Amino acid sequence: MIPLSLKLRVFLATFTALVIFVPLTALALEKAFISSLTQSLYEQLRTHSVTLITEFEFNNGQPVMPLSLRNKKLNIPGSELYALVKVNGKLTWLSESSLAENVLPLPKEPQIGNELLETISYNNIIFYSYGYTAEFENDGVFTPVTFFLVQTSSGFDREVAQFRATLWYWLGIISVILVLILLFSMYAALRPLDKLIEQIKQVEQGKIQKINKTYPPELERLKSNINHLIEAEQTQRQRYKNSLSDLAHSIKTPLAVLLGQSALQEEARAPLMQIKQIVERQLKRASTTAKGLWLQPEPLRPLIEQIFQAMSKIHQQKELELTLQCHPSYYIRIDKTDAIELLANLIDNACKAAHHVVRVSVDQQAKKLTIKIEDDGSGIPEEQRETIINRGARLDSYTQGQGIGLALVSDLLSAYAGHLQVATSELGGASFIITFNYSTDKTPSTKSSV
Amino acid sequence: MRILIVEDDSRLLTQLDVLMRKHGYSVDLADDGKKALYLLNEYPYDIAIIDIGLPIIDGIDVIKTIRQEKINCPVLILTARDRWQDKVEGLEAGADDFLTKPFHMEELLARTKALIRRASGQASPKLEQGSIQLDTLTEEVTVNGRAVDLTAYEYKVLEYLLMNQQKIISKTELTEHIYDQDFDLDSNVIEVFVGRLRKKLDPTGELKPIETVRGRGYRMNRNL
Repeated sequence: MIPLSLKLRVFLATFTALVIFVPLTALALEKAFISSLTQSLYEQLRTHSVTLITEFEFNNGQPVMPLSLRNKKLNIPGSELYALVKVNGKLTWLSESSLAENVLPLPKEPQIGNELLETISYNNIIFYSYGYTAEFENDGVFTPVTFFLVQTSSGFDREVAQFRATLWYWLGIISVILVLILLFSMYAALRPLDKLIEQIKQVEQGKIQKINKTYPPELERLKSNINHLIEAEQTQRQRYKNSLSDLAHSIKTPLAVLLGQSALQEEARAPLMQIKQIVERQLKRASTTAKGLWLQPEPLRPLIEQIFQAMSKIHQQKELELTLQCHPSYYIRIDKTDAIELLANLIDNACKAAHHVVRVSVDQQAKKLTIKIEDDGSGIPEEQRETIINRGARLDSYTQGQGIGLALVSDLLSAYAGHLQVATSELGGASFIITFNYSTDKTPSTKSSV
Repeated sequence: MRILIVEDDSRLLTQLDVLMRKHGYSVDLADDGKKALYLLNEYPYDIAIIDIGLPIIDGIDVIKTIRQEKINCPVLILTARDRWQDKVEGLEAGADDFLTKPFHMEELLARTKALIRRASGQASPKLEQGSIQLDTLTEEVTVNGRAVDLTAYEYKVLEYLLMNQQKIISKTELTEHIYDQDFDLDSNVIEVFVGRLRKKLDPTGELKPIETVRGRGYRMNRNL
């Protein structure tokens, strides 16, 4: 299952909430509105019935209603408000308004002194009815008279429909506003996360040393943890290198003492030198950082200039001309110690071989870094080039006096996935070309060419 | 030639001391950075051989400090740290050459001689003035091709004078460069050495190879 992104999760959660919340709100509001509307309708009907009761009387034992009632609606046919009067359970009077209607429902009579509210469905029409039974004295006899006020639902439905329209209109507006607010708050909540991810990427690319922007408290903890991790990794790497260096120191000083013994036999000298070389190479191999996170891109120009300065001291007597062609923006993504080891070994070899000139030229394309180290010495015969490149292939393949410089170069290149090529230089001597291909371009954007 | 060796491993220090004395150097020793700094400030060495990994003050810091203080004697680093980064940093700090441990004593001697020679502006290991020749590698002295047998101190005096042919060398300077700090300084001894040297180089008294500049010191005769 593909894990959902945080943005999608938050969006889905809020969207679901909105889809459930808005119709439920509408339903609740409509229910409340209908209930209050019904209540007010019955109130109106009760008021009408009170008026109607005051207009009723017995005259000579007969129930009498005025021709024109005070409530005008009851006088107008088709007004949708009707009145009925039952005396002793018999329908004795119908209001003028009922004239246009063919059939009307006959609601149930309530007990004397009671009222009865009813919703009646009759011929597919909904009627709201209010009934009240009162006792009237008729020739010394108390006679029950029931007054009904009946109203069709059409007016009621109209009001409900209008309410519903208004409700949905405003709920629509509110929903849109809510979605906008949610989107904004989602953006505001996730922005620090985006910022953090961007900074982690920058650390990875070596553009910054650690995460330094200010974050909300929830992320501050994460930030300090990541920073701690980066620092620990760097310290660990340094400590590891230092302890290897100390180990080298503690092995090599006694070796120096041993080699310095005047009584040392010549046969013992060779194995001692071999021990020296093995210690040297294995410890260097072990301390090679290799590819990994948090590697700073090292600007190449100052690095090579620094090496040149050292070389001009070491090879002072040769009075070499050291030239460098390297744009200031070029960099190498290798641990600095390893970068110096790699380049200084090759440049030192070139200085040893050169008669007058050593030239280092660097070219950096989008995904490729090429460093060429040339000299004007006697060069390397073609048949020996393969051997030189493969010198690092086996750990025990070097022989006495051969030096381990190129073997180390091979080790470093294989650790950093670099490539070494030996050719003939225009200067007349050897040309060592090292290339690095960056498969994924995580490099800084400064890619100018000279 | 007066030399300072700074090394914290006592066995190696002793070995180097014996070796250098055997080859005619006046040797002072230090086994930590602080002592090394003191000695370098106190005496004019012709070369300092300094181990990088030193107690109290690191070798690199010793070199940086003396360079800041304008002490210009050549410095050869001994290092067990064979990473180029350490070498580059050492050379950048002001060292002139380096040697990685373990090393051959012959190589150390050769580098030491080369550095002393370079510092005095001599390109060749053979020092010459007219018919007098001194080979710093074989430590042989000849006049008109005839070998001259010199004592260790006589050799040191001649080597120093030949290394600095262009200047007048005071007795104090000569004393400082041919004796180590344990030696009881007495300038009369120098006069005796120079006297003997004159006789050995010029038994007939025709060449007059070493001039006395009154009140100032000695100088090789430039008209040999």
